[in-house]
Amino acid sequence: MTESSEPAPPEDAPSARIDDVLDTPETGAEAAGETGAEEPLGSRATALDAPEANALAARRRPTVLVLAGAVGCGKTSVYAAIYERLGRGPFGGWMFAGSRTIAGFEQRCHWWRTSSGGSEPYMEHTRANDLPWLHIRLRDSESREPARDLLLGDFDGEFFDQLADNRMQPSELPFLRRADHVGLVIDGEHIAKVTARAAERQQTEYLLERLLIPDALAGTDALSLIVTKSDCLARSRDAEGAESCLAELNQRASKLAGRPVPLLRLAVRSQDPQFPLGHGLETLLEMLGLRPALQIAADPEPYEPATALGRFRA
Amino acid sequence: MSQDQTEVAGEESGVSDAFDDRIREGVVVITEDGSAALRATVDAAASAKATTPGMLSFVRLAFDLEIPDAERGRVSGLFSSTGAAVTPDQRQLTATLAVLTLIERFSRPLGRRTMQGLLPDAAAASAVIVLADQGRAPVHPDVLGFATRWRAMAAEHLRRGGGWGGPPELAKPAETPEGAPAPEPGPADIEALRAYAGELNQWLRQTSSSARLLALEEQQGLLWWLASSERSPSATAAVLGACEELLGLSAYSLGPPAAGELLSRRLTGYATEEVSIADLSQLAARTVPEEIADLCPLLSGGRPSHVMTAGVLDAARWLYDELQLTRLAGPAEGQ
Repeated sequence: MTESSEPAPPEDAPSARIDDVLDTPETGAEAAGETGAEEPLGSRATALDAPEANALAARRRPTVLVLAGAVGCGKTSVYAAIYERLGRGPFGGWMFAGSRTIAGFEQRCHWWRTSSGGSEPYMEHTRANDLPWLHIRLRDSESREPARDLLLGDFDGEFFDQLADNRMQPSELPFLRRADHVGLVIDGEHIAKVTARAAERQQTEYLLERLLIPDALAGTDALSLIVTKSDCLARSRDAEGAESCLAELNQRASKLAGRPVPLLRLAVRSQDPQFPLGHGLETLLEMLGLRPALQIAADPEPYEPATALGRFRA
Repeated sequence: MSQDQTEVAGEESGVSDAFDDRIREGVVVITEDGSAALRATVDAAASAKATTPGMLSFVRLAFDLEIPDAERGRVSGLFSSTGAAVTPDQRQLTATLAVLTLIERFSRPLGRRTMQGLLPDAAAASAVIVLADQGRAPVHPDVLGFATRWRAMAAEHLRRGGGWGGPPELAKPAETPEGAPAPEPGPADIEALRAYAGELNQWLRQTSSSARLLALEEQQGLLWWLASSERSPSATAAVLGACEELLGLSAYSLGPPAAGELLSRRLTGYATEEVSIADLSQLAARTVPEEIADLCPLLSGGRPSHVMTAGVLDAARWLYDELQLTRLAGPAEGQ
């Protein structure tokens, strides 16, 4: 489970392994080009399974982000956009410092790119049997602090549909409790459409309630609301109604969590020039950087002093 | 759900288990089997014979501080020999297991252990508190709460007898109607009297034990110390004086219970003042055993650069904790 032993490379493999370059402060393009070519294609290259994620966490504590939302709401697009945007150079104070799952990111970005021949951006649906964990190592642009690892949980939206419908319990998705940040994804395109809004809102509320049952998350601090495809909101024929719906959802989340829940707006792959690639990701990365770890603390049993001196209080 | 993700999600242990919540600092996904194996590892490591240097290594690991490669290898070997396959480069997992081992040791009953038997744990608890005083964060925050609680419990444990009240009460005989003759004592009454005599004898032995007398003497000394007043030339001198006096009055190298509160009371007159950490370090500097010099920056002159000043009470607790650790891990005690 926690073994870190990795398969020995074939004799004719290049001498430099991806681990050897993870800490080098190279640019995103260099890293993507060079190390990506060396990483053999296969399951290990596309994403990490549980033992591989554990092996990574055994060496350095990663910040775990899990986006929770229905099928097609844009979870994978957000992960792909983080990689794609970092590949174009530093942004939001961070720069790319390597990844163990470059092939997985490339695979996810493939259909986005115009070179893939599609008429408009398309993201392939994450399937239940896909390996879930994507890895990115970030370094602050000025290289003042140690590099930071992100593990991004790219889980099939079907799990969250089942969670919202009470067909699955949060304890069956324990990565939610391990996550330092859980983003409940709201599909902005659905909120923008008058006909789809009510269903999206209801589904979001169901999932919200399920995520906030005791012990599901490491704490209510972990939760944030993430509106994807927020460019659709600006184009909505009922923009006011859409905004009002989001405000009410945010209010509901804050009430259930007992603290203000941040709401982030992303438009990571908009065709609207007003929304450049990765729009809103700076805020997401800032949130991950401000609180890289959420730890679950449990106090020891209270101790009653037995002596007068032990009971002394100044 | 697919087979792959069933493995991830379906066979997990209870999500609200404190052990699993702590071990998550070193793993991402933990199965029931994995959790059980790591529990066994921690249990075995906590049951191994403890030495003060070994426990201090656990503390350094728990705070992600550097330790010699050989020592890191020894600790990894200890964990590996007890179940988990841990390699020295798995720093985060090693640190997490070190935290859990410390918590496990601090959770165990003190039994009949003497000061000598408590020494490795006492040094470890003191070192955890000292590092927390310096603003360092352990790999998991729970270890500080357990160390603080253990130290308070152990301080009282050593002074057991100090808390005994009056003698046990003799059960009153059943009331008889006025004027009626008292009934003759039966075998049950005689047995009850015999049991009471045993309890009284036990109480007498405990209340006059050397531990109790020592604790009472210490308590009296501390009360006089608290009642006396002596104006120091500066807040810094007052802090150093109070810490040294308190440890000097302590009957055991593990200081008195509620030491922090005693210091607060003693230094009430300076409570609103701040002291320069550099000045305090200069005044308090002394020869510190090499093995713990890195843990005691105030005494060894290697003060952390990020702390410039501190309130008198915080500075006093920090200095007291370093002085106590020096006593516990010094050559006379720690070997």
